Amino acid sequence: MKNKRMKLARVAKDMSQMQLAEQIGVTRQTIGMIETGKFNPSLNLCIAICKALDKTLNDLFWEED
Amino acid sequence: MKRKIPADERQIRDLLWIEHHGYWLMFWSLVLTIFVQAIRSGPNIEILGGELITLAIGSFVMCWGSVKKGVWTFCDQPRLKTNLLGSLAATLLGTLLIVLTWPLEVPGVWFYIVAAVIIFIITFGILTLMGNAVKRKTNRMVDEIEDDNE
Repeated sequence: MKNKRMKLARVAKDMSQMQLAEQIGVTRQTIGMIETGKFNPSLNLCIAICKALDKTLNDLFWEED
Repeated sequence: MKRKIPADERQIRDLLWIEHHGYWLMFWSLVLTIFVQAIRSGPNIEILGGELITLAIGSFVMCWGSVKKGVWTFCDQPRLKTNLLGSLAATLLGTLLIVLTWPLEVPGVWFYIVAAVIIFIITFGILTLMGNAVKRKTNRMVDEIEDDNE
């Protein structure tokens, strides 16, 4: 499932996938695959993404019914 | 900024997937090679020795890793039924290799039967010991988690 909220949060912070990737120590492809739902990140990586985007886990990764 | 690592967790997952499939492809190719060489050259340890040692090392690392990490297979726990099935499969393969390597007229049928029994006892014994070790390790891990939570 695509993670649109993560993409929106990244765009709202005016960050490119490359900038976010560099900040949290992963490749740009990994960020792209998380946003398109092709890769499920670990909890540690989720937390790192949340910190980089100033969001909570609920904001970015909690699926509403 | 975080330290840049050579491979991130997604790349590590993909590399493990590649290594997993590569390992099993090499494993079964090696088994096939041993069969082909055994049929062509007979019980010649000088020819088969390298392949057999490589197979033994690969198998030992898999067994040792399973016991050390307390995991068995992707889809099952250590059980008598699967140990018996695994041992029977190994016995069939091992006996087939011996039959192909030593023609029937040389040692006699009793030789094959004794070899099959020995292979079965060894493989069943190893699987049982490994299964028990994995269960002990799993229980120890549960105990450690419970101790940490108290």
